[in-house]
Amino acid sequence: MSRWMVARAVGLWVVVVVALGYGITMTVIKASALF
Amino acid sequence: MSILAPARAIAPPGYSRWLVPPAAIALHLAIGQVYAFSVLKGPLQEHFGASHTAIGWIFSLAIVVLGLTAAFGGPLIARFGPRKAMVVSAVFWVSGYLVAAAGVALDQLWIVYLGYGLIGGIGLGVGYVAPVATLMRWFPDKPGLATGMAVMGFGGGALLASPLATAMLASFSSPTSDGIAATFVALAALNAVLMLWAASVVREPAAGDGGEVDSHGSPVGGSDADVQPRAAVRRPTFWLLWFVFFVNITAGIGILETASPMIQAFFPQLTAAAAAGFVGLLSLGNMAGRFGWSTLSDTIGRPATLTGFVVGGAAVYVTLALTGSAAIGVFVALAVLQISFYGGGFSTMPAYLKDLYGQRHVGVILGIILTAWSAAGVAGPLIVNGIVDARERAGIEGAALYQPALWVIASLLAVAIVANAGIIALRRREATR
Repeated sequence: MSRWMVARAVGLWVVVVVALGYGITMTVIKASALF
Repeated sequence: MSILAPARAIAPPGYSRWLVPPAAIALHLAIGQVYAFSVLKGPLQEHFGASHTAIGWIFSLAIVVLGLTAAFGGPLIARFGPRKAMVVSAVFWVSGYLVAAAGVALDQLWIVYLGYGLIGGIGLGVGYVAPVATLMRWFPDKPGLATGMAVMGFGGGALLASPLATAMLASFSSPTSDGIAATFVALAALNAVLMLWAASVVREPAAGDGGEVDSHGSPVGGSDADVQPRAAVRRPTFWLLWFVFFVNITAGIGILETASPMIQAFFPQLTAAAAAGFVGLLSLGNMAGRFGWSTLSDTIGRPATLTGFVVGGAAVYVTLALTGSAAIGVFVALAVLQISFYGGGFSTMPAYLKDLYGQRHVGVILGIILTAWSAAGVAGPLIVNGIVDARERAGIEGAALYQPALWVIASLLAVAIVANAGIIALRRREATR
């Protein structure tokens, strides 16, 4: 198992978490208009 | 050996299974962006001077093609292996965006149907199943968690793409262009990177040596309980499950499809911005349900989880029909709960299929049951919009516009409760056959 293989997977974890975090934050901001 | 050959995607010994989920989530994040289509709907209507229905068909076509591709292409997609399936999905999904961009640039709506609807829809169908089935092979002890992670990405795609596409449209628009074609090209580029990265990361567990074992110590990759897809579709449990899945999706779409006008009909004092906030809350409920309910199903079991969806769903719809306009907090809480059931159905279903028919052919069988999604995508809006349009023509206003539609869906859920009881009764008999 190469380091490059692991680095790609860990990097993708970071991208996924950032993307979901961005989407959730923007949606929470939008949803706050309801209250 | 080709870089896309299934053997090249087998994990080396010692490979951690926690390195695989980001590939599944990322791919679903990309294809789940289809649910952000509503952001593009208004600009496309303006661009082509077309009706709601004409533009709405682009999305509907993509979902119908998704179901048909997953159902009829299932065996071929299973032979591809996850990496090749992800690359093929990326080629179609990205090409779909690019062809749609050409359609917008050339002012030809049919090219947008061809690109986003047909070509993109094939990409959705090819890409949906493979990551789910792969994660289930890595997490045989927690199939609900596995499918929850993958399918959560699909829900997250809408959360990601809605603000992203809105920002892109604003930044690419100019006095001479509405920015739609450029937005399609930018989304194509973004998705190409995300999906090909995911394909390069995905790994299959090695069967036996080096592969994962389930909680009973059995190697991953099949068991005596594996049922062939042809045999599975001859079993009554399959069609009862199809029906319950169909009703659960219809009940979700019944709210999702018309969320903004619906809450404004129940509470006329609400502003459009507050109604948009309600739609945002539903998206969060959808994503939370996808991860939460299927993870919980690993503990309480799939039958109890599905029973919760249909019994809880019927209770939600009856309460909304009887007292929906009494308090906005109750209305919002019930709607979010129902949408969490909707999302939870998508993530619990693959794990339930594995419980019933074994791991080996779960991808193909999942592809077939996804036709329930296509059917509900047509039935849900038809039921709600048909009834609301008819009552609007009769001069009815407010919550009363929606009440008969709520009762129709509550009745469907009541039938689904009976079908669900049938699955529980029959599964033991089928398992011993």
